[in-house]
Amino acid sequence: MEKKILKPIVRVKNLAKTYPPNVNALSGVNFDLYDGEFVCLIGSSGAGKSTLIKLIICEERPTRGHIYVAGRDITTLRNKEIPYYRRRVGVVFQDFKLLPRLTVYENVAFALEVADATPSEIRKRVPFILELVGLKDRMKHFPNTLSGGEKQRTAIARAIVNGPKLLIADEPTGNLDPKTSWEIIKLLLEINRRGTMILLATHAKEIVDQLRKRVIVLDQGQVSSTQQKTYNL
Amino acid sequence: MITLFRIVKFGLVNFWRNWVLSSASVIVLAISLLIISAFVSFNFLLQKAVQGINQKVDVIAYFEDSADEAKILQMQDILKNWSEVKEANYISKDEALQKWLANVTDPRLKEIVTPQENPLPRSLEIKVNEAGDAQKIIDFLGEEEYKPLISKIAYNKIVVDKIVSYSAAVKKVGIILSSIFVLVAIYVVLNTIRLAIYSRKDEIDIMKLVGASPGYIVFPFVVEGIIFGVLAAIIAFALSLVSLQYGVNALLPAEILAESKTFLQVSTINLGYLFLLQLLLGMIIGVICSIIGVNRYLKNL
Repeated sequence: MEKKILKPIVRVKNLAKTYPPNVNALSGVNFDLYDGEFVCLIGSSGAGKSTLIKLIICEERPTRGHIYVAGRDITTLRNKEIPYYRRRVGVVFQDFKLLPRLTVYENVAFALEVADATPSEIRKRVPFILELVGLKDRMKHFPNTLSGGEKQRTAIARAIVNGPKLLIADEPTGNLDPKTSWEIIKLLLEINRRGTMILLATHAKEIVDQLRKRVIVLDQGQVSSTQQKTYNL
Repeated sequence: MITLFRIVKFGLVNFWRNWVLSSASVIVLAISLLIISAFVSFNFLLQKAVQGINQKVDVIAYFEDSADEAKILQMQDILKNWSEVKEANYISKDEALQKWLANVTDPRLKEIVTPQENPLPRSLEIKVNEAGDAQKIIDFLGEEEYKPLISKIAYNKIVVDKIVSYSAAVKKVGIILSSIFVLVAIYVVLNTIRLAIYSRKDEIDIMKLVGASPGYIVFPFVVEGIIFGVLAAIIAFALSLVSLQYGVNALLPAEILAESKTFLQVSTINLGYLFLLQLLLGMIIGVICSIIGVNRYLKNL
């Protein structure tokens, strides 16, 4: 398989997170994610999905273990370096996390602005990305006037506007109806086809079944299965 | 440069699109500035008044008719050079007569005193800067050299002592009260701005997740703090003008107004300073409160 030639973008090693007093959210998690992959991360509530994602985007520090992203151990990043790391990793959440006082265009542009993009880059890049996610005619709208699907498209546009190698989607369809959910998944597939690695955390069984992608199953803070292609829940 | 522009723009956009909470912060800050300026002005006025009363304290030395004029003028020269003495005026017999004639209305009394037959004594009228200095003048006049020349020293000890103790107390109370009110005002502003920022802590988290550096998150709030300060200063200044125009003249006792002219006259010179003070204080309080308010949400990763 072509995967063998590719080097892992994300390498999770013996990752453990214990919340005080002694809740083991994760205990000894190991897996690799390869360049260009589309991987589903599944597991019931409390299995540790959210904790794992928080650790990958440096929102929390692990108790033990390491996460290597593009060869760099991000668990040892200094606080000052974290913003720079986050600009290179796109994240999409269940609750969209859009800035309510900024328009669709401004929300996407914000990610470029914090990364010190030039105004001309922003003027070129934002409309291009909004076109890609199908929101070109919603640019001047504020988030509270958008539908759930449009909000998530905006969030995805913001996540990919800096051209990240890795896009993490934490339950992106959790607040959406099935039809809209599929549109979002199709958008993620399109982004993956253009070369971005995607880690999709979800518990929507029908999506995982139909996607036929590699699945990592978390159970009680451990990886119980990481297999290729089809997986039956 | 481009970053500065973005930060200012972001601060303005946030201020404008968040206008309900923004105007709440501005109004609270304006009221605080008004309270602070009221106390500063009040203290200023009080000190002017105390100063005015202090300077009204006179020591008058009346001289024997036999006293040598040159000697009296020598005393005047000495006293004039003292830093405690505001003025020392020599009143000759003729001047004393003029004063007498000006003050007395009864023609029979006027007839008693004529330039030829003038029992009015010569005198030195000494005004001091601080009421407490009057005693030094008395001591000077009591020295062996001058004592024989002087027939009488006019000076009200009890009044002077009271003024001395009052002005000290008034200053102290003024400063304590002002400090308390200023602290309370700042505390209220701090909490208002903190609440406004608390309502945006989710936004701060989002900015962090998108990869905004702490500076990029804090400085727009600093810009907002500056806007708060400027707008609040303008409002406070306008309200100060209105209250000065209509309020203070009516409220203050006539004697105090007479003492320090009118309050408006006193303050007209200082209106520029008042606005500058409000502007500076407003911006400082606005910025510091914003930084304190936003800082607590930056500690998490």
